[in-house]
Parts: sequence; C-alpha cells; structure tokens
Amino acid sequence: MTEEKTEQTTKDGDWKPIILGILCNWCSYAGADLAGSSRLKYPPNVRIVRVPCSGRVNPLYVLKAFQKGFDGVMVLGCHPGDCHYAKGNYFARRRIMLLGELLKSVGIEPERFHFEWVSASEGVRFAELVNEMTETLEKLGPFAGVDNSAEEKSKAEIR
Amino acid sequence: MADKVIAKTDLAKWIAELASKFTVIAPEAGEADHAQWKEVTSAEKFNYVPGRYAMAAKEFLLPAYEVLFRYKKDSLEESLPEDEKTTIMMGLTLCDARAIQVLDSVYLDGKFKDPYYAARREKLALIASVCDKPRWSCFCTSVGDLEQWAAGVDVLITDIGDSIYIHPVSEIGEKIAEGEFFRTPTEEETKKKNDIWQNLIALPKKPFAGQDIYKMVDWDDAIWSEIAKKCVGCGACSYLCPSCSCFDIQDEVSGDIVERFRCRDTCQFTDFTLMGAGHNPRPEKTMRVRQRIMHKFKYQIEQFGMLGCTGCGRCVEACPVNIDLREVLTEIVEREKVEAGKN
Amino acid sequence: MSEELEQKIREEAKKLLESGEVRLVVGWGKGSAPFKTTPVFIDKPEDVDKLVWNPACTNNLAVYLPQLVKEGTIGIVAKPCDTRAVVTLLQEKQIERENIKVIGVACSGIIDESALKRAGIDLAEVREIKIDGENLLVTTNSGTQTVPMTQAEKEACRICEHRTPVFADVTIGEAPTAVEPEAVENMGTPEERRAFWAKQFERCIRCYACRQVCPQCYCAVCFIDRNDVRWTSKKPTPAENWMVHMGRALHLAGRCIECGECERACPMDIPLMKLNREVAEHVEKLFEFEAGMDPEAAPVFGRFEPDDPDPNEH
Repeated sequence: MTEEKTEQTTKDGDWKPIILGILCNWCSYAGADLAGSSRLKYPPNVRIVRVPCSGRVNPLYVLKAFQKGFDGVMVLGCHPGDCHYAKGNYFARRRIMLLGELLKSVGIEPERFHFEWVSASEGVRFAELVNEMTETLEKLGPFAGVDNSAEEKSKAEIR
Repeated sequence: MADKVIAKTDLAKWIAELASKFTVIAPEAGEADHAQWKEVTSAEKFNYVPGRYAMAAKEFLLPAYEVLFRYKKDSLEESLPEDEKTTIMMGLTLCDARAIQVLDSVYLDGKFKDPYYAARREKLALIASVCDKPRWSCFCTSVGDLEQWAAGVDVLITDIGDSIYIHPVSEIGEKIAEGEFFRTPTEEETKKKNDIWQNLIALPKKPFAGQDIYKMVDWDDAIWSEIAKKCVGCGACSYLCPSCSCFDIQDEVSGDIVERFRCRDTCQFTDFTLMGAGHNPRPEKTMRVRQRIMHKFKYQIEQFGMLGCTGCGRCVEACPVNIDLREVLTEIVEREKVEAGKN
Repeated sequence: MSEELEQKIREEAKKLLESGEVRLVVGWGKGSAPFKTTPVFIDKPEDVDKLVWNPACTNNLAVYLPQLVKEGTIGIVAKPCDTRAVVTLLQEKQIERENIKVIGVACSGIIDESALKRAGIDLAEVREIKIDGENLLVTTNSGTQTVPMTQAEKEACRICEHRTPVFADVTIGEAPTAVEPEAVENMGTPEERRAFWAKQFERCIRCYACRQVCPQCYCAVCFIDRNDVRWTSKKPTPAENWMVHMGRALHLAGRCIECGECERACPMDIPLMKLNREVAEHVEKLFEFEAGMDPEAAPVFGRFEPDDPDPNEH
C-alpha cells in the first residue's frame, strides 16, 4: 500500500527524502557548522539534532525516527580517540553498530542508516555525506519499512 | 421458523447474497487458530471450521483501538461508527455469543450506555456455530446453560458433513437464511445435527458447575497469593477473554491534531489502577489476581445477575504459567465443601 | 531416564531445604494437562515430590529470582537456557551469587503446543507424553503417535547449542549427544523481510506476555510503559507494534539467552525467536560475545574494546 504511494508521489515530484541527523556537539555538529560557514552546498533534507556526545544517542531515537517516517537517519560522532568525553563514542560504536545490523534484519535498506565519524574540521565531508545520502534516498524512494497506514488514516480523516 | 440445510458447495452463493445486503465478518481463512475477524465477500475468504478461534467477538464490538474523537483548533470530529448496513458475525461459538450478552450488560446498562458500543451492537446479527468437539480447555457446560445461550443468537449453524444445518432463531435470523439454495432437512440430517448438539452439551461438568461460586470467593483467601506467586502479570488472560472489556483512554497529539482514543487495558497490568497523583490501590500482584477472579465470578453476578465467564478456555490456554481457572474454581468449591462439612 | 532425573532433582531440592541453605526451591510441577507443567514454589522438604522433570518443563524460572531473593536464598531448578539467564542476572547485578543455589538439569528439548498442533496432534485427545530417544511419544485416546522431537519442540530448542547447564551448584543428567543445531533460515531480500515482519507485528495485541515471561525484562518501568517520554503509544497499530518489538529486540541484544519463552507465551504465535536469534548472531559476530556464559563478564554494551568493529571498515 505504501509502495503505491511511492509511485504517486514521485510522479508528482512532491516527495523529498527527509533525513534525521543526530550529531555530537563537539565534532560532527561543529563540522556541520563549518560546512555552513564555508558556504558549502548541501541539500536541506537533513534535520539536525544536536547531542552532547554520540554516546548519548539512545538507539531508540533511530527506531522512533523510522517509525515516524523519516526516510533516512544518520548518527555522526567524533573519531575514536577524539571524543570530548574520552569514551562516549566507543560505547556508541558498539551500540550503534549493533543497531545497524538489527535494522538490516528487519529489511531496512543499509543505505537508509549511516553511522560515521565526522570531525570538527570535516565540513566538506559532512556536506558530501548529506549530498550522497539525499541522492541515494531519492532513488530508493520513501521509507516503507513501517506500516503507518493507521496513523495516515487518522490524519486524513480530520482534514 | 423452519430449519434449513445448505450444501457446502452452495455456500458461496449464500455468502455472496449476504455480502450484497449486509456486511459479513468471519474468521479469515487460512489463519487457523489466530484468525482475525475480517470482512468476507466470497466463500474463498470464509473457511468454515467449527470451533473457537483466538479472537473473540469483542474484537468487533470493542476494537482494540478506537478513536473517540479528534480535534484541531476549532473543529471537533466525533468518530461514532456509522455503518448503515447490518453486520453479520458468522461462525462465532456459543461461548463467544454468550460473552456478547455479558458485554451488553456492561455497555448498554441504563444511563451508562456506551454510544460507540451501542452503535455497533444495534446493527449486529449473530450466526453462531455449534462446536463439534471441545478443546482441551473448554468448560462452557460448567458455567451456563447452552440451550439458553443458543436462544440469544440470530441463527445457529451446525456442520453436518457435506452440508450445513441452519436453525434461524430470531426474525433477523429468518431474513438471513433466505434464498433458493436452501432446502428442508432430511430426517437423517436432523438426527446428525441433534447428535452433534447432544455431544456438545454432554461435555463433562467440572466440580464447580452449578455452584454459587459468588458466595464462596473470599477477599482474604490464601489462594490469591498462591496464584500470584507464579503469575507473571502479563495481560494474556484478560486480553483474550471474550467478556473482559476494560479499556484505557488516552489523548495523543500529532502536529496540531489531538486524538482521543480508547484501547485495551487489563486489571493485570501494574499501572492499570495507577492514578495521576501516584497512588495505586492495587500495587501488589495478589490484589490484581484477586480482582480478576472476584470480578468475573462475584461482582458481575451481583451487579448484572450473570456470570462473567463463559467457559471458552482461552485464559487456560494462553496463561504462560498454566494458571488453570478450572483448577482454581475447583479448589475454592472443594474447600468450601470441607468447611461446610466441618460446620 | 526422565524419571531418574526427576528423582535426583527431588533429592537435591530436599537436601537444600532440609539443611536450611534455601528458604524455598522454585521448580516445575504437574500442570493441568499432560503436555503442561506449572511453576511450583516448594518451601517444605516433604513437598519435594511435587517437582517434576519432563519435556513440558518450559518456563524459565529465572524470571522469579530478582523478586524472590529479596527474602532469602532461593533454590532454582534450571535448564541450560535458564542457567544462562541466571548468569545474565548475575552479570547485571540483579541477584547475588550467595543468594541462589542452582540445580542445573541437562536438557534434550522442550515441547511447544503450537508445534504439536502443527504436527497434527489434537491436544484435547492427549493422555500422556514421554520422551523416547529423539522422539516424543504422544499417547492419545486413539493410540500412540511418534513425533520426532525436532518437530515437537520449541523453535529455540531446535536451534539450541547448549544442552548442559553452563552454571550450576549441582548438575543433574548428562548432555545428550551433540545435535547439529539447524541454521536459522535466511529471510531473503529487504523487501521480503519488511513484508514478513509487517505481517507478524500486525497480529500483536500488546498483551506483553513476551516481556513478562522474560527473565531479562526486569526493569521497574519498561520503556513501553513510560509516560514521561512516550516511546510508543498504547494503540496496537502496526507502526506502534513495530516500535515495541524492535525496541525490545534492541534492549535484549547481548542479553537474550534464547530460551524461547517469549515466542511460546505469545498468544498470537509471533515468531519472536527469529528476530532474537538474528540479533544474538550479530552480537556474536561483532563482539564475540555470547549472552549468559560467564558470570564475571561485564555486559557487552557496558564496555568496549579499542579494536571493536568500526563503521569505517564495515
């Protein structure tokens, strides 16, 4: 049913992928900031949430994002060894790697979930990541891994 | 009202006929035990197998998730069910049909009539099916009179092999069993139907059959804590029970729309009686176990004059730790006998 | 053979109760049908004959430990999977070593009612069940049927690699000859997987039997029940059900000891072990960690290694 929706909306050209970016304050968010101040072009499809550390990222956030209909999620943190809190990203590494595998197990395409290290000086890299992901998702289509039909029906009824 | 018979090969015609005039719902074909009630428009979707399915009739009357109303800024939209056509529920067992009567006593009670339940119930016709053999957990004959239960449905059907025997009970039942594909039953067919019925009502009764259990269940009984020791507090028993009807009402915001919905809840959950200020009158599992049994076997009789339990056995099968309600009731009754013997 | 083990279990339980080492022993007792057992809590030595051991001893009794140990030392009769649950509870400091006495029992598989039904057994006709080598003998009203255990047992048992208790104060019985665990079937393309799980989670009625029978689900307030942060709504829509089960699978990663009770308890026959098994395999592959094996080990996500798998290499 949601596959039909893909056909309709891409024909209309209305659908654009929405990506949730969970970025750690000290490295990846600073990197994104640098991309901005360097006037690098990257698509506006990413919605950024800033967290103090990638170790703070509760994997449930990612699940919730997909449940709510985000087309892609990226979790970005400091390179191992560079964590502002020393160890946070090491814990994140274990947790988020496992999360990635769990998502694959239930059929969520690996292209929809990215877990990367982006340092504060990697503005270019951040822009590239968002560019690539947006392009890939545009080709892949809207996220169809969760059946949101009951919720959609609810929204439609009051309108 | 005349009894009729329809050949199974003609079943498709009857269902097509019904589907054109009514909304027909039945356990969906091919899903065996956990078949859900789905709308059928053809005989392929309806696989008639006598017996109890996992999902009770309450799934239709009290959906697991039902929107009460939604509002957005100045507009409020109620969601009363508005189906014009009568809905026929086809293939439910007598224990489930009786459970609907129990739900009626709760939801259609005087000035507390529930408009959502009532809207569905008014337009509901029941085609109940006679079970050909009991499940290991069945105990309907121990908690009621099946003849009486059968009088409360609209049509009673029995699988007699190549055909289905049809006994209209009510006026609507007559209308439902109309068509050229029916014929008068032969003597042999009537006998077969009677045999199946006799077999059903011959299900051996448990020691608690016919006893005034409501007089015997005791608030201070040690049995509640015995059961609570092994109860893990899941909601399976009450979720599957055809006459359990507790619900929760929640408000949820999505963007600028607020939706108030009703969903299943169970007295077995720790937070069922948890109040906004933090007080919980039933914080211990013993209390919750006691509540379930006393509600079903005492309070409902005292309030509505009918036993809440219809002996369908779902709780017995579903309980992960094998708390067998039949054993619990037997113990209560036997102990009462011993006490009475002493006095 | 089963009777011998049963006798030994009773003897061990009696010893523990008579010596006063434990205040009660939790084990399995006779159920209300030939293919059922029920948890029993024995606090008197003369009651140990209530304890049974047969292929219907399915409950993971470790689920009772965190509450019971608050009032004294507890004896527990445990299958190998149950002993792994005990180990995980020890790792996570939910129970202390000195508060439990584990009577471990070697196991060759536990039956599942759904499996019996699929094998064509009418449960209403069953009079007795007995294990005979690699088969289950089911005596019904119309005779005896032989069902290979691989068809009669829980999915978790079919793929189980631990037939001897991994942790016990006393071990009863010997591991049956090693069985080649069958691989979990590959579920195909991402689209097939999505369709499969969507169909499964649609059936969920949110009774939480899976959570309640799980020894690892001991949180005072489960994420599903939280109101302060709404991870999931109470309405049983496919999307919310997806969130519940995915969240649970996530929280059990590296902790699920694959006893299969969740799947067995599910009244809607959702194949939870498929998901839990895959997650367990991911954990084993990524971090070389198997849940519930070493009580001294730290929980897998509570620590890290400098050379953990890295997103750059993956």
